[in-house]
Amino acid sequence: MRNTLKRIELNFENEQSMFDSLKIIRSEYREKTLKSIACIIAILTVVLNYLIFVYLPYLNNTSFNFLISGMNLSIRKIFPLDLTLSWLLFSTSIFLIVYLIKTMYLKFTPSMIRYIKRETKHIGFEFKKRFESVGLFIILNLVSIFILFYLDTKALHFDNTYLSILFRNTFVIYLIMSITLPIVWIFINDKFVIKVKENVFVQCNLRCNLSKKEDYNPNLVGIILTSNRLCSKFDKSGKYIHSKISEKRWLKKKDNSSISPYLHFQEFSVPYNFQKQFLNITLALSEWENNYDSNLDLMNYYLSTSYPYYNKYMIKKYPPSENQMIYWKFL
Amino acid sequence: MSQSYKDFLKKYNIDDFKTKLQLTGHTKIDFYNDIDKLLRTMCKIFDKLSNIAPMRGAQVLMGLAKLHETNTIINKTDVKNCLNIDRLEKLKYAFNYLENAGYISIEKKTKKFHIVKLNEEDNPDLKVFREIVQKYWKSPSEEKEKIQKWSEEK
Repeated sequence: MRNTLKRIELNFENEQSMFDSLKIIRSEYREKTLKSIACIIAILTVVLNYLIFVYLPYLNNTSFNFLISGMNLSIRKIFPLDLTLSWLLFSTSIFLIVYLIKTMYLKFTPSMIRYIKRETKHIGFEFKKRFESVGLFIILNLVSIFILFYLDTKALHFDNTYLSILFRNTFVIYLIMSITLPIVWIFINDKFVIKVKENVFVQCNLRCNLSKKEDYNPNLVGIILTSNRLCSKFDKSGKYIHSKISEKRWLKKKDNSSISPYLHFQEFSVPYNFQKQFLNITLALSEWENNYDSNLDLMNYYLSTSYPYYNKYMIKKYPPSENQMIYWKFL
Repeated sequence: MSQSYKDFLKKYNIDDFKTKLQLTGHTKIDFYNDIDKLLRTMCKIFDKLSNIAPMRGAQVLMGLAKLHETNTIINKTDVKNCLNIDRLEKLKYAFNYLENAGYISIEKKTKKFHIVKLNEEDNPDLKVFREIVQKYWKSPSEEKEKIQKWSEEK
């Protein structure tokens, strides 16, 4: 059954194949969720065992207490390398649990990824999984473990001098940051994207109702396409251009992430019209670049005329048109 | 801003038979621009509707209408390329449906070479549809080309 599912390619060209494709997505998603839950349980078991049998019996004597309270680490009486091992276990397990929960939340399954990759490749672009949090976590924690190892082997120790206290406090803050930063990164920067050009990309999110057991509608497999940041929501000129382009291309005017202070283009697609909707949002980005950048250049030109370093190049490159003058009114 | 059909009629008093329709100078240009806007909006609606329907029939009709502008003989692969679709099987159901409904005619020259045509004789409305699509619609292959040029720019 598993091998059969792997070989089948998703197809959304008629109702029956849509129905079958959704079945595949559902079973893959269920499999992925079960794997993640099993991993979380395994991690929690290891951590709890460590806490109960290794850490708690020496609770008052652990190196962490000494490190945080600023007492001399050389007087601790727990097993060697306890600081390094405890931190390694603690940070890795927390990061992995959050990472796995986020993976469960992402509904992209292997076959769906293959489908979108194929569609994107046909337009000449590449669908990529950008998971930078793992790299960040490894780099930050390697440094922590390196220092902790030196503390454990007593190659490095703290005393009561000003520099030593400063270093200890900074290191404690660094330890906290080395776990919180990658976790924040998981939620903000880990995503599936299609790179269009330098600094221009389209982010993809899958929306699919997979929880109901019966009466599911195959048409409800939706892909939300969101562009990169365009400009601040408080930039009136940018807001005007954004609204005009969204209106012209029938893009969603209200951003789902209303908390974000930036403007984005957003488009909704289903697997069957993914390519067309992607072309639509990318053309919107191209129009944005042409209109907004030339508008900015015009502003630079206007400002530069007030100063000695006035640049004739800008006005030659982008002669002012009537539309650009409309945006000027909003500046 | 899109042009409303009702506003268009009202603006030039077209549905008012007491007023004489005068199209001179600027009015003529305005009149042409307003009609152009209406047709462009209509074309956009065709395009959006063709991407909402679960079958690719409407897309095939648009592709065919567009190709009639430049090609005298159109085969199924031309339509596939115009719509930038990776496999011809994706259009199988659409071609079958459109042929059965009488919107297109398919002439099977060989096993693989099938000439496709819009059936304007039985469906005269398709003539206006073709004219609008040819003038205002950008096919996915044209859009793809445009985006690729832009993405290669620095």
